[in-house]
Amino acid sequence: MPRGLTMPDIGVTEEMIDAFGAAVWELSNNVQVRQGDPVRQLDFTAIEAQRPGTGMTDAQIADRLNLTREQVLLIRVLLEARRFDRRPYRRLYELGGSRRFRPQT
Amino acid sequence: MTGAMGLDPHEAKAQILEYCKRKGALVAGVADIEALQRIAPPGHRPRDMLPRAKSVIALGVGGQTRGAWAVPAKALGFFGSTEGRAYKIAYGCAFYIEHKFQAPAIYCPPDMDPESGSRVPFQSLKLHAEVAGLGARSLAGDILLHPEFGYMYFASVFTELELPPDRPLAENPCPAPSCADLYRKSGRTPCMKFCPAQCLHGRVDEAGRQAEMRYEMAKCAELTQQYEAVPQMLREALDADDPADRERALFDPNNSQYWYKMSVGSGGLLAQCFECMRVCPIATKAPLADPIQRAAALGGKTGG
Repeated sequence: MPRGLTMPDIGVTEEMIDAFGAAVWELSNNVQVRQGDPVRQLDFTAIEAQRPGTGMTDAQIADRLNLTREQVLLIRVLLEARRFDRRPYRRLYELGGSRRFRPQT
Repeated sequence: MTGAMGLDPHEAKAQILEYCKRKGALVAGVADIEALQRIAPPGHRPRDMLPRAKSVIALGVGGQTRGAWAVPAKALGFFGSTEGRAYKIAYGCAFYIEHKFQAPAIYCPPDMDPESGSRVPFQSLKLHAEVAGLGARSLAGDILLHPEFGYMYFASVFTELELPPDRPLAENPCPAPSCADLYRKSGRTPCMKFCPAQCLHGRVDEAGRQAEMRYEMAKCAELTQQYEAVPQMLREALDADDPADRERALFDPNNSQYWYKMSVGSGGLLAQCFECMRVCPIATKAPLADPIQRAAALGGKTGG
């Protein structure tokens, strides 16, 4: 838990995870969307405008969703563990050399 | 222009970058620290790490040998990454700067911020390298690509020595013309098409430039990081009522590999996937992308 605090200490419930989980996920660096090439072009206006897509910190997400940073941190890290699927890794066993991934494999 | 100790910053920069290249870096440059301070979010800016930092030096080393692209993915996962070489050079560079110029310097830790779980680093080495002009973001999850050296691994050094910054690359080599052609025909570039996690999406505009890149890092992590794999297995074992289920959770052939990797401290701990780069013409065919091409370009004088 963040700095030793428990879920009740920081006010995170399963209902809160259900309510805010999708938004926290999309705003975090687990999903990254970039338009154009703003960093290479040092286009600071575009960089600022794209922050929700390119991945925000827990504190930035907290400000946006009116949560605390610790709440966002806990929700995000729990979701990263819960959504993690070990099965796709086995696809690598069939790949390499001249073999490439095909969705049906 | 001269700085502390009557030092010419341009000369100091030349000596530092020469050190990096002498030690094995293919590229090295200085990122504009004021740009980094604006682009990186609070908590992850260079001066959050080294408060009086005036310069960020980024360097890149080559990826694996050409031969490595032909091996099975399950084997490449153990040795495909070469970032350790970059870290070693950066570590030495920090000592070199302090010894040579008497200015505080640090090797920038490439590690995760322990207050943020397992997927948020202290600093973005990618950002440092991009702003220093060592690569440009690709459609393959923003992996940096260089028009001459292709796919590299990066490391950074922070110092209180003031050095003149470089500029980002003028052009982005991604997508390559052949990738833009495939996108026009199929709606996908090779990296998108052959990603085993199907975590890459994007759009290429009519001029053949990147319009949008969408990367689902969490999906990629299922093949490349696996930080959640071991605790997940342990939870399954603890939750199992049946001893046979508990045994399976710990020692199923698919799960026992994790114990091996942890025991040997595999460099690819716990996983690596190179399939997007394996099909990338810039990563594999850039003019100086591998030791064979680099040796040929230098008349056989080096294979590094």
